[in-house]
Amino acid sequence: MIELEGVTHRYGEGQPPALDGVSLVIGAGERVALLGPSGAGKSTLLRSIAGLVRPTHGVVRFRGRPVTGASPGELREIRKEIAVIFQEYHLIEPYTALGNVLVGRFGHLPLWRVLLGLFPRADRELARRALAELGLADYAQVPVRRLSGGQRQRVAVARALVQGGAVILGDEPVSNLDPATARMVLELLCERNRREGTTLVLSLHAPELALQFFDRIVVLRAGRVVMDRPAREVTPGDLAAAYGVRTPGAPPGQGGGAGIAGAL
Amino acid sequence: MYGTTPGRRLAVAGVLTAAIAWSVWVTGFAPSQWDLSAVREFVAGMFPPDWTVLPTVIAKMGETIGIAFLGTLIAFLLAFPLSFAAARGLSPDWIGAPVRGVAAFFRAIPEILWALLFLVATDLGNISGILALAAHNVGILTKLMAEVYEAAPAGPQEAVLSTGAAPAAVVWHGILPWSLPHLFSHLFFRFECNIRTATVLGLVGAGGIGHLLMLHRSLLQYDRMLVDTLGILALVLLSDALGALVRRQVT
Repeated sequence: MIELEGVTHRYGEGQPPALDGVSLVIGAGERVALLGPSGAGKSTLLRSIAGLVRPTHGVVRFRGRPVTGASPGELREIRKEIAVIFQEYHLIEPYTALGNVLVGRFGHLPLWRVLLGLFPRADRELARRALAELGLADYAQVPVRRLSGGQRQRVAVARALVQGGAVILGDEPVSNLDPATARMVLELLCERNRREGTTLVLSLHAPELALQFFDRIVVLRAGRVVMDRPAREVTPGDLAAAYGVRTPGAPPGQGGGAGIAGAL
Repeated sequence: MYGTTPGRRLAVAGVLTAAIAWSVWVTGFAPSQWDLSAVREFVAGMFPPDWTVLPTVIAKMGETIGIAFLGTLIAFLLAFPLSFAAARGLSPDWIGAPVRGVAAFFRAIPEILWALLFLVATDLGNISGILALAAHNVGILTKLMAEVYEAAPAGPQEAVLSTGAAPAAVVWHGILPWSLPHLFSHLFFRFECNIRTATVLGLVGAGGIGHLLMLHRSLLQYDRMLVDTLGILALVLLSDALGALVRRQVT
């Protein structure tokens, strides 16, 4: 479904690479959690899959077609299939929650409908249902600028859900939610994965959520993949080692990280 | 700013003195030669003001507001499409650069010059005023509006883009909603400026209250000129107040 081949990206000349020769193959229907300290390159990785960042070197492919160097028309077709939940939500402030969720349908509608804001009834229903599933049924008509951080994040998740693509990329999609709501949102995304085979690639800052909800863990550090393993084979010690955290008295990766995984 | 060394201070003082001397020389600015009797005659002629002209003044004030409004509106309607073409990042440079050049040309010519050109061309007072304001302001608004789009946050644009939407949708939903209050703020500020400018344009014959003032001056009716002047003052204060009110609502 998604292939990265030697992907390197630098945001400026002479800057250290945000991604450093990353090669990764993600199959259809996989649930992949991206872990790693801040600045490890998780956001850049997700953005290059979505074609929002053009890698300095290397190639990204989606369903065998290159994303890197695709024509604007091809890129639009690819983007329709890849929904993105942005770390900063990227909502349209003056619009209501419903209006923002309907943005997810833009790629599927003729331009005149998009410009006039005339959405088919089915799309409105879909958007309302997504908001309801995320516990925001009562906020559909509220401008998003009046919503709290957690509510805004859930609007961003709903927007990705209604886009209905083959892939959902999420850049820390539950970072601003309380633990119970975070689990509810991840459960919703996993349900979409189980029901429709949607591929999930989400970056997370909480390893215990990654281990619970995902079947594959990829850890990035300084732009490189330092661990890529099925979730069930990952031990807390592995995570501590991957994060580069040392515990007193135990070398990393040898079982000394149990306490750290709790702390992470 | 102020000379930090004695030499610098001396140089600043020298340049300033030379500038004053030169300006007085070229303009013949010499208070000793002022003929105060003309001033006395003018002031005496103003009182008592001739209030019978008030209804005409009010009607002409309305005309000035109308000139300013239509001039601003036409400028906005033309600038709206042009501003997208002029914005960096929204259109390719081979479109953007010429559009920015034409806009710069239009705003470089002052309204009063445009008014004189249109007066010669059309010989119609009010219409010349409207066209003069439109011509100058289309240049200003194109630039200001393009700058608003350029400053729009990237996030919402990226969000719309990432759904596979068309570029027009990215502009319409990703940029415009954030930009609208700023556009309206610019628009009302230009309207406010245009009310003031429209009174001046009248002096060269382009309609409105300024035109009436010029007429009364040429007939030496200073008592009516005073009423015209009060009318202009009221108009400017009114536009100031209106502008402040609108900006508070919009932003």
